[in-house]
Amino acid sequence: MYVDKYPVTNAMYYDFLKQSGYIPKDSANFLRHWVNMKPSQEDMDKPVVWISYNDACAYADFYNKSLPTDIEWQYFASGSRRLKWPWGNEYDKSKLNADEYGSITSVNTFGSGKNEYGILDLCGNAWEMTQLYDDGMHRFMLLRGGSYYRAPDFWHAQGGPCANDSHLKCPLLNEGLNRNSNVGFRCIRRVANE
Amino acid sequence: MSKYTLSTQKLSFTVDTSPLKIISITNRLNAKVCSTIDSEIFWIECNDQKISASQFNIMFIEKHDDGVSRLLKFSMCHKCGVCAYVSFLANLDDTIEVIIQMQNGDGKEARFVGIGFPFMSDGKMLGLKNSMYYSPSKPFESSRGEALLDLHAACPKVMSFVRNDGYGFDLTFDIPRGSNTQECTLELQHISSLDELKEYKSLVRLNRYRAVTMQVKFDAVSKGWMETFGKIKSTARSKVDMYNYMRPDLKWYNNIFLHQFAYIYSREVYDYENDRVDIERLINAGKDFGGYDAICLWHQYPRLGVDERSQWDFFEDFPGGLNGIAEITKKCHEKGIKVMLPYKPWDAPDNMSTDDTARKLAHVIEKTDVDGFFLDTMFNIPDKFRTESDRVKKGCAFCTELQPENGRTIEVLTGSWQQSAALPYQTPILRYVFPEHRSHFISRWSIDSDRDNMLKKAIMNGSGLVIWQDIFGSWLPYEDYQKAEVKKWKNIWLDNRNCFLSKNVFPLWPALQCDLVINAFIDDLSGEAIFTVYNNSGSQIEGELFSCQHYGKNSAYDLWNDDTDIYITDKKVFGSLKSQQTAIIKVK
Repeated sequence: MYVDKYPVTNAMYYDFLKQSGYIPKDSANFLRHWVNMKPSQEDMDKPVVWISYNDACAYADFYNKSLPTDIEWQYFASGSRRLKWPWGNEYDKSKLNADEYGSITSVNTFGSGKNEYGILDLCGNAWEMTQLYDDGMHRFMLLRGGSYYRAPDFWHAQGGPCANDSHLKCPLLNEGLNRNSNVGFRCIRRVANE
Repeated sequence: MSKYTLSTQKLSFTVDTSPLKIISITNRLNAKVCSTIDSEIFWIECNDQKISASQFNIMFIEKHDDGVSRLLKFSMCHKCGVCAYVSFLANLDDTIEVIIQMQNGDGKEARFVGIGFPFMSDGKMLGLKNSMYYSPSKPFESSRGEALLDLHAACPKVMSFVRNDGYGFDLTFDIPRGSNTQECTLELQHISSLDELKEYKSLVRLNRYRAVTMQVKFDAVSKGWMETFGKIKSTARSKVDMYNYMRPDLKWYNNIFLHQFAYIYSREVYDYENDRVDIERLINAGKDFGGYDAICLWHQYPRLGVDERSQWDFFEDFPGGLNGIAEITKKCHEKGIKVMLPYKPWDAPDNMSTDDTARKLAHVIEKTDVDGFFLDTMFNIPDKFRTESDRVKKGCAFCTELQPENGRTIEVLTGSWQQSAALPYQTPILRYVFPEHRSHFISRWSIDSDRDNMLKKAIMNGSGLVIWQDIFGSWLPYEDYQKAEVKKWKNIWLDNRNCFLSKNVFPLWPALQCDLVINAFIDDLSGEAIFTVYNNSGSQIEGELFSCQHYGKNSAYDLWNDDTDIYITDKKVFGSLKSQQTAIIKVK
């Protein structure tokens, strides 16, 4: 299995749109933070957000990649030593975008937060989608890695950085609700007989 | 003179002053009900010394009559520095209040003293033969010790000592709102057994200002619990304006029997293949239950908080936006179904005032034509919600998830969930004190026999249900037989609305056998009454079940079962109920 070093950025998604001509069936909230369907210069290297699971899959399919399963995500994030956090077993907020910046940062801002394989931005900043679950009654994703954003109340979905062995269940509905301001993705490529 | 008597038409207290003691309390409705208690009024523990009221020096004895109340008051001091003022106040309603005030009379700093009230707690009130005791916080319990009556803060707590023939005394602990500190009154409200009462003592903080330490109102009764409940009901209702429940535009809520909770992130209502809310699917599925009367479209929790979007954004992002909600509402209205939306008090931006929130709610109502809001996690409601919703659409209902906090909340709300354990024998007093306030029964995680028991509980209390099968992603569907039973109950309820919507409803109707729980729903106009009966014992109960002196003279039959052999003879209803069986007995 090969894993993207970084989450897919706005620049990368912009290239994808130009190359593929992808137009979502339902464009509610699609790339809502872009202006005239183009990311701002300062957002280029930040994880792309305001995209749905379908938008992420379209990207992955186009490049012959896929989204990781929830299990795969934990496997590569925790590494061979099954670490609690990408860099070790102790939480260290100097190694990630926990919330000080008040917004999403570029994917290479926290080099010290890389894991043993050199994968960056696994924790905090923007949630990462994993492959969809459908149990016959519901469709949902398990989001990984956490986000810089923490909603204030007990009843809100628990935000903030998320350890390698935990996830947030995110039920899916229409595309307008499925797109979020702080949920992105990274791709993997599975290799036969690895 | 050493003996003083204060009397009303119903009650009299005789007090001796040498030394100070209550000699007797008499129920004058039946002179034989005289409790000769010869008891100390109070004692205190001060400086490691136990000092009883009889050891205090009486400084003044006052008698006043202002035409409304008559007062007999003893002012007394002890050399330890504590002063006490014991007042007996005879009211126009024939009750007599005992008010004990205390202060630290030596002018020094505050001090703590232990305190007890032997005239109530030494058990002599039970000098009545064959008397029963109802404690304020657990007035009824099953033979297994389970509380049968769920009490509520809007209803005064009453302690009763009553003979089998119904004669006795009620002691009411009803603290006026904003009153001075009354630690002991508060504590006595929570007494749950006779043993607890007998062992009662407390610690109070006395300072140089006189404060009410304990206040209790005595009343004489002749009809036992029937009369006691009547007083609880009238006292609670006297503090609440029921105007909203009489509004013609809100009457529709009376007919909401099945309230469906639609967790939208589910194929129960969402069509993932075509990316749309399939409200017809939900409505059709509801036919198995007898048809949903109201639907709450729930699409916020547990999604809120993943990003910064608020509940107001989520209304815009709902499939089709606010127009999408309006279309669903229109389809529901065409089928006679009301629509409610959720409001989350916990998702309130810091810069949003209550007025802003009320205007937002009104905006959503105006744009979607929904019929009201379900107030998640709430037990109260800002008045502004009502006034703003009235401004844009008359007849919007507000239903809280939790039971209303107090009388004021009951005034503004339309309904609330009765969200409680699936125990058929538990009877919520609120249902009977404020029958206009509709509560739908729900125990979200109850399945299998627990769900059966929840239905029994709804039946026992003559109420509808919240049908909630998808608990935030846990699909817990009703079994086919359960759907059929809900449908059957709905039809019975609809056919007998005159009884179930009556104001003359009564919790824990006197049963003629142990471990029978009975509630009554009486329509005075037609003379019909429904008695819901539950056998809370571990074995079959046969024979006489209950008396219905004033209601139903000719026939009695079971609307729910075929095998209970119900009949009426000499104003007594007889029958046979298996263990944990529920019956819906109609008498007319």
